Amino acid sequence: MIRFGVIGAGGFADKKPIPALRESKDCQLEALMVRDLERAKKLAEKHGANKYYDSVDSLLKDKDIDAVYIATPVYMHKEYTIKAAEYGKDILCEKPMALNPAECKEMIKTCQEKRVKLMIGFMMRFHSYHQRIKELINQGTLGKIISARAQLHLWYPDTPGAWRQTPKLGGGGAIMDLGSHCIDLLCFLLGDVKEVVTIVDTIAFNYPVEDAATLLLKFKNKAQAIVDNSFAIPNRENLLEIYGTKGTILASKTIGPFTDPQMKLITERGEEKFNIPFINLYQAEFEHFAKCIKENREPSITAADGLKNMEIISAAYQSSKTKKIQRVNGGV
Amino acid sequence: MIVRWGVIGAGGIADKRTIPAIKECKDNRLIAVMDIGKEQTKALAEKHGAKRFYTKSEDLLADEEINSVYIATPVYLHCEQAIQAASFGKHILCEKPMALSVEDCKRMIDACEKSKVKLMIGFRMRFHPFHQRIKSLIKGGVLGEIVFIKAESSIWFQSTPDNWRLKKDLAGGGALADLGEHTIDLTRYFMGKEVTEVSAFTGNVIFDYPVEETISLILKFSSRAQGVITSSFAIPYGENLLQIYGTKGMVMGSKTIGQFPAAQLKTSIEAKVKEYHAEHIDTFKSEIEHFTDCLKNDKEPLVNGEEGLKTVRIRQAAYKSAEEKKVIKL
Repeated sequence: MIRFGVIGAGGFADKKPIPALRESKDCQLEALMVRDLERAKKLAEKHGANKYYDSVDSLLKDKDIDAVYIATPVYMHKEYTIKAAEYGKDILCEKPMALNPAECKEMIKTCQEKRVKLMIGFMMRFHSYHQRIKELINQGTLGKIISARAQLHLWYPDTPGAWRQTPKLGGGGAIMDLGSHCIDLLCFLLGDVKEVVTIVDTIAFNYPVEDAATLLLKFKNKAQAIVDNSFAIPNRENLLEIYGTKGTILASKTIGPFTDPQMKLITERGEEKFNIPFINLYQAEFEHFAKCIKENREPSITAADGLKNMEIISAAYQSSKTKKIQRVNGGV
Repeated sequence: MIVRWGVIGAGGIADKRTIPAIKECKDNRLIAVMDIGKEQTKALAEKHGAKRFYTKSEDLLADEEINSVYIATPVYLHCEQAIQAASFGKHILCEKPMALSVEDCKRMIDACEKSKVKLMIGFRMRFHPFHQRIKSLIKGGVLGEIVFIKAESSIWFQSTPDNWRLKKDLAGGGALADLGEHTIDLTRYFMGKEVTEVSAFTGNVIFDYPVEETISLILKFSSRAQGVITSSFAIPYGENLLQIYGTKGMVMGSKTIGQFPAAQLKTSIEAKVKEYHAEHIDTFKSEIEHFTDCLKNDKEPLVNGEEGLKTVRIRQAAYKSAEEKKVIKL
């Protein structure tokens, strides 16, 4: 049994990840932390945590905790990851990994020195439909991949105090929050990105981060891809399109919070619709992480993936400012 | 009034799609066809029941029975042939891409204005019944303010390098010139706003063409809406998805772009979803009908020379963006 401590258990963690953690095989919610002790107590009662804390240090000192799940605003990821590593805890850190590539590199260095695992929360890779797409690509069913598109839109109006709408706390807007998932998914399916060009804008709302972003990615294997993100469209589709020389995948509602995904494969044999059981992505993520700790294996989503993701995001933001096509740095 | 056609460049698309459409349209007659190669052109005239055939465009233009020409030659010939046709007082339906350069487009427009003849560019996809429906939804404000648009036009096109479509100086470019111009025109039409910024990636993933096999564009419109266009010669099983998002609703077309005879449209307006299906769509015919209407009633064509020029300008900006690795402002 891997005993988890959750850092930043208020916000989003409270809604989906913590309930999923409690359902996960070989996982136990040992303790949780938020900065307000009363709130921590209430959350611990709600989720059945054995202990609760109002500081990261006190949680990390708890010897009953094997691993931490960091779900704080992005700007705290680096500090808390490094602290957790120093206490010898394995770490599952929410996406995006940090505010910039330099922070990611520091996190990686410390985790390597302290010999702890560091996995980044790109749980969409665990989606059964995305896993199937990966298989279809690996088997050659789609032929050579020519182009792709990952879309993630949602409705996120002005919310005073929201860290995702504050540049210093979230590191950006729609690209950091939504684009990070789309980019990771495309890298999972198509490999490394060579170049990026991006436009960002804040069209609908008044916050100082972008509510609309369109990215073009060029991959090392020459495939081209689109990522389109918006905080101003209440989307019910969120298409994922993969075009190969032998087949096309058109999926909808696989990206995002939907539980009724749809997907079809078009080849010379016609159309094939899929009906694969939907799994809880957070549960799959926690179970994978626990298994990696138990078996002392590297998680399938590594910190290096988190860094690559951040390098692409960083190049994208740079492109939006320089108005140039930017090369993406080559990882660690 | 009867539209009496002379077809310049009667092989290819004219032979397959446009001439059959002309013959189906009321008040339209095919008078003559022109192409290079006497035997071949004679055979085309016989096949389509044209009265006469020519192997030189100036001979066809001197034919006084003809009042309108359809120019469907390789792109590099469009400009001179259109100017020549205008000087003979013929109305012109010119295939897309309009010309190799913005300057050539201007010369064509000037010549047609001077001779007082109509000039329409073959962006027939505007006439697709689903695209007409989308346009009226946008115009009526039903979708709210448009914030994002995505359109694709891809096919499987495998050819040898001697094909004119794969030579930049003859075709004006690759996938974007041949396929993507349709989606540039459509997005401009739907948005009703001008493009202010263009960025693009070009490349060849599997083919080794001297022009781009695959291209992706980001467009920024004067309204600040963002758009994406993709085109490829290497995608055999696509549906050419079209998506338009407004602040009140969205529309999604499947197989409305291209030459699909059947198409789907989904509208989602204030959480109310509707799905439509259409069959036996022939936008070639709709295009000829519109041209006929413009001649009969002395109307300006929906896709006139200015519209064609704007698309060429965006195409050229996309190529410049890919080459210079920067965003191009228009």
